[in-house]
Amino acid sequence: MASTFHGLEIGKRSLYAQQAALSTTGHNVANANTTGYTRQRAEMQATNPMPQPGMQNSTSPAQLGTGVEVTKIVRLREDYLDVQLRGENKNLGYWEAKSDTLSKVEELLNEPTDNGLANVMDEFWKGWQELAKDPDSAAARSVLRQRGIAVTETFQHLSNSLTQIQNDLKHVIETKRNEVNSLATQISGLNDQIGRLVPNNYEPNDLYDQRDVLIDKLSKIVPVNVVSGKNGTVDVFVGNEAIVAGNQAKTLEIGIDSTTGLVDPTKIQIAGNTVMLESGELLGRIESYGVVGGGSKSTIPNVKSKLDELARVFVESVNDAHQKGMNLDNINGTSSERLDFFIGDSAQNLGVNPKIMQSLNLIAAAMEEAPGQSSSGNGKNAQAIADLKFEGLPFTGSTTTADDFYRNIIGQLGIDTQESRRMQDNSEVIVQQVENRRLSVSGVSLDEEMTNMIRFQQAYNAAARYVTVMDQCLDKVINGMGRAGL
Amino acid sequence: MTTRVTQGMLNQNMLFNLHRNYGEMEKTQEQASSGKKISKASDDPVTAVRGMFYRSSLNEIEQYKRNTSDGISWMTATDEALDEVTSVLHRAKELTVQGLNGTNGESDRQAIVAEIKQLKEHLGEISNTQMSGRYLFAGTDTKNPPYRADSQVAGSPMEFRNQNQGALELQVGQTNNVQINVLGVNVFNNDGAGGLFKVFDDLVADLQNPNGGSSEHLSKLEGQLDNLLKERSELGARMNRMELSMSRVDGLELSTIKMLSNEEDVDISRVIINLKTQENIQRAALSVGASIIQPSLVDFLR
Repeated sequence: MASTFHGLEIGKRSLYAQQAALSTTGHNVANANTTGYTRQRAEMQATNPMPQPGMQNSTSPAQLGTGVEVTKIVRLREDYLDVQLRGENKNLGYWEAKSDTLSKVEELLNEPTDNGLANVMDEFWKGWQELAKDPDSAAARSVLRQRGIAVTETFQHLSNSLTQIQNDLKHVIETKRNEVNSLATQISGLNDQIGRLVPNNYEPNDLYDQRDVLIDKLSKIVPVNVVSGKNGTVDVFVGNEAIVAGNQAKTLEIGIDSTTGLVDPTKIQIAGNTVMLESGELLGRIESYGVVGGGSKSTIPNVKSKLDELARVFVESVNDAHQKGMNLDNINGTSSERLDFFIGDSAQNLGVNPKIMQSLNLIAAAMEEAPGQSSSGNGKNAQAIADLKFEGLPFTGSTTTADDFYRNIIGQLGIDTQESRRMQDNSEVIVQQVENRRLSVSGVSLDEEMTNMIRFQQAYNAAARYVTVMDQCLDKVINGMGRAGL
Repeated sequence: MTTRVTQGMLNQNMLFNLHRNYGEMEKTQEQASSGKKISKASDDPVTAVRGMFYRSSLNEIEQYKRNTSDGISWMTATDEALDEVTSVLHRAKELTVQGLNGTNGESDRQAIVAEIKQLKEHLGEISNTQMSGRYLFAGTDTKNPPYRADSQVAGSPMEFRNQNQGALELQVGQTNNVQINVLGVNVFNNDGAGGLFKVFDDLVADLQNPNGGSSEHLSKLEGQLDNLLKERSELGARMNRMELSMSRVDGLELSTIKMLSNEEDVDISRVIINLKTQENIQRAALSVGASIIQPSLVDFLR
């Protein structure tokens, strides 16, 4: 047999439960556009019916229901999708970083156009051809010297600009490292708060959401591995090292090798232990900047060293041929010194020989006609130098013309850029798809929330009416029963 | 299987696809406005490298064209000079025949001698022909006049003193060098002992001698004329070769430009069609997106 206020109690429980559900719906709607928000649902469960079997309990023929209560507010999230997203996010970060630097380098080299190094070098060879036709013309010599200066200036400009990009990258790497450390600190702070709430049987859904947003951000920069800890906390691993362990955050350090100025991969450490970054934006930036032992993956050092090689072999070949010729001072007996045309041995420090800058007569256009003798109209050495354009020069690992070597640099760069852009596009699409699936599971659908709202509102109205009815019943019992004949 | 679709998903998808469309449109627009298939090497590395190669070839061809036209000017000037020398020699032959005629008196002989001396001076001037400040007949010693006085002996007479045998060559192809000059020594001093000028000197000396009058001068003049013709025909052959090279280089330039254009240039009609298609897709996406993302159940509940 039920108690007097059994009905009212059922009504009250229903009102509470529907109100809680309405509040949850309201919370969902309010947060429909919050980044990383996971929709919540009030789980309702019927409360224990009466009577339960026992010695002193009544022997009524059936169990009577006692109403409803909200047992849990569930967070609708599929963990596997998080793992998938973080796995793809690191690739996206890596390819974005690499393709960014490669595009910058490509724009710098600016080929194939009429303004790049290829054209400047062509003009230089043409200058020697003109000199071969008219070796004693001061005008032809002056033009040639100017074109030589143009070549050295172009090499220097390229080298300096590459160094500039490298320096910018260094700042970016430091910024990203700071970001990683800051994110780790925030995650550990959230872990701390969560760890305090969960043992009290609370599910801090909103804190979970915030933590997941931070971990997503982190997963783009470095590859992360999330392992659940106790009391709802998580440990975040980068490689084999934990950067967040419960409410403790460690710091990521990146060390530079002092001799080469590049990043030393053994000095990428968390709390003193080396970690191997396999992907992620940080790795992309580090590789673009240059890593010790990176070979062709170190984007900028690779391009710089190839340009240096081109400059060195080009200058050596021209100088060798120039030394074999006779300049105007040699011909008229003023001096017997044979000079180099260029000074310097890398793209950074190239220059036209200062003695030639002082005097145009020192450009050796003539070849010897008899031992130690020649005439001012002899342009055969200039022709020989102009022919160097077609000659295979001794580069390390191959004998090829200077033009071919440079075209190879451009071609390789083009292919690398194209590939990284393609990978970036692919990763974007995959990330987008996984995000979509995540939204499908966890995102707020306004239509759904509206229908829920109607449901809960109607249930609330019904509960309220039920309370009114119970009230009337009780009124009948209390004020109407036993007062006969009034 | 019904997948749950939320407003957020619709929004995100629409934006993502719009962005991709804009990216494609930007690329097509770049192609249309620049007329080139690629704007940087990564768009198509193989095309880029080939394009660089053809550009470099065009630079070389431009230089060869300049060289051939410079060569032809030089050789034409040389030919004209040699033509002058031929006329001088013909006149000298006439005078010789006249001078050897026994009926000449003293004053006639003096007149002939005077004219022959002038002819010799004229030959000297021809051998000093210049083009843009360089002597045509001086081999590689182009700054020194071949017919000059000895600079170290005061008051010495003007003689053909050039002995340079250097050839001036121009490059008109990658392995193709053509000699453009005629060696002065071959024309004016072909026997190494004074050549043409010595013949004139001997003639003058003989005519001034009242007892002279040997007929070997005529044969010597004939010999010099033969030599001259030989040099001229060689020059003519080289000029022909130069002209052939010029037309070959012109043809090469045309075909290289055509290949470069094939590689790099874009087919305008195709690009415009692409652009129109993409514009249509963009409009469709925008209008569909606009109608999908707006209504939700909220609009319909009273």
